[in-house]
Amino acid sequence: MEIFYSAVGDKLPGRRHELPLSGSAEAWFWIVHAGSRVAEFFDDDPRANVCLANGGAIFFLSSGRYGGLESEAKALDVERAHGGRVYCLRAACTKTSTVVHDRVESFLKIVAGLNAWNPVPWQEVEPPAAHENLLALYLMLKALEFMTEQERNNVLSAWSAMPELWKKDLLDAAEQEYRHMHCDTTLKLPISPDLSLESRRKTLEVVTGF
Amino acid sequence: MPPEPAGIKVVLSRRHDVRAILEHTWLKRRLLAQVRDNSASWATASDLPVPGVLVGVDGRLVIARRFVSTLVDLYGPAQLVDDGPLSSLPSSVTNLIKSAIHRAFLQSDVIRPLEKEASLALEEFEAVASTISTTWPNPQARPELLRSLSITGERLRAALAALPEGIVIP
Repeated sequence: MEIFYSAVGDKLPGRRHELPLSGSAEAWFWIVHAGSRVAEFFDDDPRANVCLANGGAIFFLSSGRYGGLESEAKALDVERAHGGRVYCLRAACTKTSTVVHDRVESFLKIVAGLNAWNPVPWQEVEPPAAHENLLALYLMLKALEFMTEQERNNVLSAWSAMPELWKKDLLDAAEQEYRHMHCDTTLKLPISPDLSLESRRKTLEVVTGF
Repeated sequence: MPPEPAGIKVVLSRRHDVRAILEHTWLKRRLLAQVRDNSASWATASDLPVPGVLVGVDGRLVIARRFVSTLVDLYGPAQLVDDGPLSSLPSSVTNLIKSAIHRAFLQSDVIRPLEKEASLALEEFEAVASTISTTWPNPQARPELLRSLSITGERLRAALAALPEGIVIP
């Protein structure tokens, strides 16, 4: 955790940390907080090019999105210019971004096992996308708890009238997201297709955290 | 920054980036840092024009006021109903869901106390900031102005930092 904590937040731009990669004495995995100077970093620190030329990789993170750059397009420009050996974290990494911390921490464990020139699994470092189907289901079930009986009946009637395929897709996708969220492929959501009262209450009990 | 209040679930949203920009980029890294680092030299320079960081306060306060005045809607989960699969339901039904989930959100009472503190802190800071142009020409009054900016700015920064990072799920 300290590895990247000290690279973000209160510290000055320009801080970087090195993790050695096996297979080359000059190959490192750098974790860099460059503030808004990501594009200029390679001129500011000539060793960055030495690192990349020897099979290393550079990971930019910041308390803002895109490693400190203004947009995803600019992040892609920098990444493409260095052939996939450079990456700008899309998510903001602040001291309270616990989801991001967890991902970065897991990612750095993967990096610790890499050799020079190994492809870097950058996709592992981004937090998972919002669980939109599970969230939608949760919002609807929670809302039903705060409705009058008449309102609740109206919503349940509308749900019942929706195409079966739409309902199945939503519930299946929500269950997949629930499994993904808890990293357990055997989990099942207790929701029934007709949104029975008992299944609604059981589902609300188990669905937590987004 | 303090940790996320216990038990609050949030969905991250780009609309909340302004909180971090105001709290971290503007107040913590720029305004408060410069006031802290330069107070001594600013207070003794008799013909010093108003520093750029203080000239820019008015523009930032417009953004801060707009942000604080919309906190309840900005952090409310009703907006998510229109963004996801529930938007396929008839609008009369999604409106029922939005109203009910908003009631659940208000009942959770997460945002109201934070909104109140942010609003009070902003008013306090605005009151001090509004005197910059008239107070600055008098070097003897500057130390008190800078001290007040530092105190009220820190209260505002803390109030912004205490806000959740995204849409609150009740």
